[in-house]
Amino acid sequence: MTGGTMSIVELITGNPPERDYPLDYWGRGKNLDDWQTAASELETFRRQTGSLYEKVRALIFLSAMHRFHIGPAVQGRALVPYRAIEHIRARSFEQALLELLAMQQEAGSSPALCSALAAAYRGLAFETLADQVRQSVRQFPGNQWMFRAGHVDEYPLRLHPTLHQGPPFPVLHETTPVRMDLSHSAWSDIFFLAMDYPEGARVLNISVDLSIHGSGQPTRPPVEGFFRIIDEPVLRLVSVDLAAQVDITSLDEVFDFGADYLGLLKAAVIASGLIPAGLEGSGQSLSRILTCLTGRADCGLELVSQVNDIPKGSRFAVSTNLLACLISLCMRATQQIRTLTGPLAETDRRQVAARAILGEWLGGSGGGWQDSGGVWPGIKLIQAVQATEGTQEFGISNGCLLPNHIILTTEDVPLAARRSLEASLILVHGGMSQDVGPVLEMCTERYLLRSGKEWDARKEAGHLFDQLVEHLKTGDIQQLGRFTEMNFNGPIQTIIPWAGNAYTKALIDACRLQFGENFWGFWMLGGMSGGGMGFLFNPEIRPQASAAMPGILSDTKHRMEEYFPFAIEPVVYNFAINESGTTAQLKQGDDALLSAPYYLFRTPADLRRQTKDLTPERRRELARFPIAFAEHMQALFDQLLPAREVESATASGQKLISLLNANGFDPAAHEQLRSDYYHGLLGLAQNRLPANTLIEDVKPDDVSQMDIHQDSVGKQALTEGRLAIITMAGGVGSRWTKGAGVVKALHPFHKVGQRYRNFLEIHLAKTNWAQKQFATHLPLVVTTSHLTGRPITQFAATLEPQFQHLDIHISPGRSIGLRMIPKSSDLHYLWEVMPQQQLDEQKQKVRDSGRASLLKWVQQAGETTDYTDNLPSQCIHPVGHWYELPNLLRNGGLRQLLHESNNKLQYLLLHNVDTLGATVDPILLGAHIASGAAMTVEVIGRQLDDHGGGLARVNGRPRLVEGLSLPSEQIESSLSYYNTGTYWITIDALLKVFGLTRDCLSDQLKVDQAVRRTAQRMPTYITIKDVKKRWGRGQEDVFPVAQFERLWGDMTALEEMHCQFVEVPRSRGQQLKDVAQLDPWITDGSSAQFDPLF
Amino acid sequence: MQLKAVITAAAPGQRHILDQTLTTHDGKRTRMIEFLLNFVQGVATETAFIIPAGASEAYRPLLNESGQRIVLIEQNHPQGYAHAIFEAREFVGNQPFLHMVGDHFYLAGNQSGGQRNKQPARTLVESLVSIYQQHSCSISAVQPTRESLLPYFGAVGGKAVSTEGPTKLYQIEKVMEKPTPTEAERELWAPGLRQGQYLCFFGMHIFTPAVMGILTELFSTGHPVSSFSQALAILAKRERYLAAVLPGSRIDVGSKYGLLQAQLALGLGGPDREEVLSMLLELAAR
Repeated sequence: MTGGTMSIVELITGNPPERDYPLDYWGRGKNLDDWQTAASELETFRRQTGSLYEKVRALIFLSAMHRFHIGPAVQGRALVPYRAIEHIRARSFEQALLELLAMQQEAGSSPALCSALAAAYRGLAFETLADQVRQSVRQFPGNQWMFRAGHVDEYPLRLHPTLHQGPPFPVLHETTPVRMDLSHSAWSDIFFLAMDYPEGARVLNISVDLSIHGSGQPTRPPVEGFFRIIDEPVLRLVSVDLAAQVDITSLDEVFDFGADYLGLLKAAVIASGLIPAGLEGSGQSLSRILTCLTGRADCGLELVSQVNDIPKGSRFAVSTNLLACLISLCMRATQQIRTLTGPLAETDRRQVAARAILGEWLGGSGGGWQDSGGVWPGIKLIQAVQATEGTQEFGISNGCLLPNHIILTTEDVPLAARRSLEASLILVHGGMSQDVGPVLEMCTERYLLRSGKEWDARKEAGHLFDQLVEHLKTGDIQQLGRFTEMNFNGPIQTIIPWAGNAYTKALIDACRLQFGENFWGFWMLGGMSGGGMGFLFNPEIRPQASAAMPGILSDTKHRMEEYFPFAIEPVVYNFAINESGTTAQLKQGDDALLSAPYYLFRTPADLRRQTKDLTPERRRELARFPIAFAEHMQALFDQLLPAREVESATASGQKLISLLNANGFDPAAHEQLRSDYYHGLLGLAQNRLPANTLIEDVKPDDVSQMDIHQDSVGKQALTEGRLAIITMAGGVGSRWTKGAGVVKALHPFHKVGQRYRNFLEIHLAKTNWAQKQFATHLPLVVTTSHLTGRPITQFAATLEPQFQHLDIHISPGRSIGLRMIPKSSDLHYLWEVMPQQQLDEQKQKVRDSGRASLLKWVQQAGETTDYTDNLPSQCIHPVGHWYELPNLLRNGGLRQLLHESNNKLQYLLLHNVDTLGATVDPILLGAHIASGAAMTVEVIGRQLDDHGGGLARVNGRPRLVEGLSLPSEQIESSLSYYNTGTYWITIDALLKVFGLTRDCLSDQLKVDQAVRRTAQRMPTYITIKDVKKRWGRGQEDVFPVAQFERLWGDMTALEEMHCQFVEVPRSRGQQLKDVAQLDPWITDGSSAQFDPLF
Repeated sequence: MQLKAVITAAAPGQRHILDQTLTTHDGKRTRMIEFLLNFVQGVATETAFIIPAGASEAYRPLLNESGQRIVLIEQNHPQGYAHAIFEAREFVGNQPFLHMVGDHFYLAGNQSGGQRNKQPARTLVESLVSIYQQHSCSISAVQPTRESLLPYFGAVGGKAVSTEGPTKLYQIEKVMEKPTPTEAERELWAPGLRQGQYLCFFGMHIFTPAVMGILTELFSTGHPVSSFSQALAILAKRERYLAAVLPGSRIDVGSKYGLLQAQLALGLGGPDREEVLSMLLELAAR
């Protein structure tokens, strides 16, 4: 049977090769009826099958079918029932599906229903997979008892007798290497893949010690943990590298993961069984457990973590190995591991790895199945294991939860080969820290769909893996480098194009340019490039390469830092293979001390207390540590007198003031806003229209359809040079980078041919095409803000030749706001009243706990006070895109355009930089001209993810309404159309609304007054935005801050602004706001339209 | 069948068997050691008590009172439980022997409707001997025990030989001393038990001479022997070694309220049950 003739169910249940036949290939030549029949069969099948993976594949198939095949082909207008939206938000996917399928049955299929069905099926698929991993890890032998221990009286652990011998109490010290993955193996270590495709899940995993190149420090295990009894009845958790400490006295605090920076230590405490998971919410006493463990009512425990100079996002799985280190430490201390010191036995390593997976789930993070590789020594071949009778996964999934670790001995990989690798490889952290979560989901989805070229790439990765192993065994590092780079350029980027990026490419090009044949290859570590990476060089020139790499990294970073989310300055590591794995030692007597950094962190606080307030042990330790760590006394004084911090804060404050002054900040208006916000005249609740406002869906006649007959009118206007384009590029991609603040317009997010292209380049290419197509001259205005103006101006000055002839104008921003600390009432409103997407159970717990901390932060920082505790650029904000066009009036940009066109210019196409489909379309221009409207608004049919308002009849008049202003969220779901943010504008009509004419544009005072007068008629919205604050070594905190905005869509509410609304195809109107949208953007063919333009 | 018996009473928690007394339903105050002798009566041809160095004098009167053949062995250089048993090597010679720990009080029969099915505790020892006669291999009495009590006992895992009838039998494959629940869950499988329960030693064993051979090997290395379970783990690898779940229960009188618990069990299992219950309620209500 060939793939195409199989039923859709056979595609899932068949054996390979049928099972591996891509869904896309199966669908070739199928029509809408065929797809709908197949969806119906699959819906029945997925409810009946008992196999986890058949169920999950069916769900992912159903999601893809509704999103890419059925949704775009159906014509219905049925909207998504609000109850289904609520169910999806609450993660009640089955109930959502019942609602959606019932609506489909009743009203027929529609693009909106298909979008919701696709989301619900996808959500259910990933939830089913995650539940299975959780179930497997809970049922892993040795883990189950922790969920049964629900009472202190049943607490079964005792500390190792040696740890009681004191004072001073002995210190148990564990050091753990981190892991690097030499093979990458195309993300085959994702649990979902390994448990379905164990034969393909193989990695070459190496335990490594590191140090920062140039620091003068020898390489050492990057992760350390300490455990001891203390003479205070508390559970003390300390993270030395995060400079955080908490003394826990209740069990509830142990399970409160988001309350502080110690979530990982808490997860280790629970996953190690020290505080069993079954005690959560039991109301039991922590002190009784501590007494049970220490044998004394006046003693407690201290657990300390320390990461040695490794920044976040290193791709060495630092957090997983730290978790494993701490779990191992606690398990040794409580005799769950029999060897108190030294390396671990294989059984114990596996137990620690299983507990680390548990800990990651508890802490709401996630890791791959090879990530705790640092627990094992040296070089390991890690392979997934087929589930067989007797394994807990048998009958549920093809593979087991935990893989097998085959340690490669010096017979397999000789010492010489190991030394050759060390002599060739330079490991770096490129400085970027990115969330790889979306990549892992994309990867899983593509695997389950067996998307054609990705599946071929996965098979190719398997062949390359065999080659890598062979070359490592023979010590042929040159060939190894060739194959790691081949892997990166081939399978890895075929499966996930965003695994590579322009920054990485620039680094590779620079190395090749500088070192030519002596640069043997690039190697990507982990989920995405830009963070942890490897460069292999001929050992003969490696010293030169080591010396050059910091400069290459730093130069490249500084060229790109305005449009890539860099978290830290790049670093180069020294590294060595660690042949021991995780190891513990016991420090007793006078040696019973922790590390110097620990004392540097803790001692200043102790010294500020009165001696009588310190416990006897602490006093004795304060006397002992200066002798043991005499060379660190200067550093201790520096800690006590933090002069540099004060200097830095002062400099930052001055920079903020000058930035505000330079960008037209209006202190008086700011104070008025603050006052209004403080007194409740502005706020999230006040954003909403009065409850008695009549808001209804528009009538069919309110929205025009595109009419080919209007094509000629538009073409003529184009030919006559009566149109200019305005691309709004003032934004910093809050959602795109989750608050990191980059120039989104310049972010090179997509590879066309061999080059990465940014948003603006795509618009330039379209403008270029349109000029040629319509034989005309099309001025392109890029409106900017204080954050984006300079980088975009620089970019425009160095365009590549194909764009140099374009008529580009940069419109500088004239308005700027200063963020404020939000009111706690607004945060409550945002989190409790406004609809929120629920997260998976454990992640939601972490989020809720984090929110409680943010509310405390608001109280401490002062509601409605200025937000200044961050980089200056993160404290200010653009004040909404309403100002971008009026800025053109104020800064003379429009006057200049009119002048240069000899006053022929009559129309503007205004759009957002992330609306990539917004091209110059003569039909739409023709429709606009023919209507006589001041403004034509492009709208699209609403789908599930379209939040933030839409087109409505407000008190009987069609206009755009912002989501912020809707009295109830339910109303939004009843609106058929969503605003694309793309507008066609007649210049003279707009000027009239402002009370201006072409002639008076040169009267600056008049223009300023006109803009101010019109602005006052626009509603001011308070919004809460997430802002990242970076600190330490790549650590990031996200704070909610208040800012105000005025939005262009509200112009449609003005009586004198005659507007018409026209429906456009989704591919034209969709905005790319979130990185997770990229995958469907490519899959649905939206991206392919730009390929011919370059 | 009759065997020699070895009762260990040298550990700190076992040293009070001469002083600790319980009152039986007829009002007679009986010492723990008398209960122990009563348990082995009719089965043991001769009983050796392993006692602390210098304790013989205190035990001497017992030799005359009991009417049983008793040997006292002082543990002059105490090195733990395994060593205490090893001290009896000459006493047992190359013969199988019954071993009990001196700090356990036994109750025979199953609990039913709050009433214990009254049988003399001696029947437990007799049952063990009967199983030994049937299988001719080392056999340890075990009791399904909640995982929270694992810090107090040695525990075993293995496959079922017979799970029908009042006595369930398992072939021991793994022995661990005071395992953590983590180790127990991973290593000590035994079918037919409730989740979170493991087969823990009952304090009553019949061993073949192989045990003394293993102890001899372990002590001859000069390394400390961490626990008797270490020897039993080797035994399970070398020869057939069974675990029997006997219809009874044990109380560790060496634990904090162990003696009180044993007294209450005696009271509640006898004709004065109502009186003891009223007493408890009255105390609880105060």
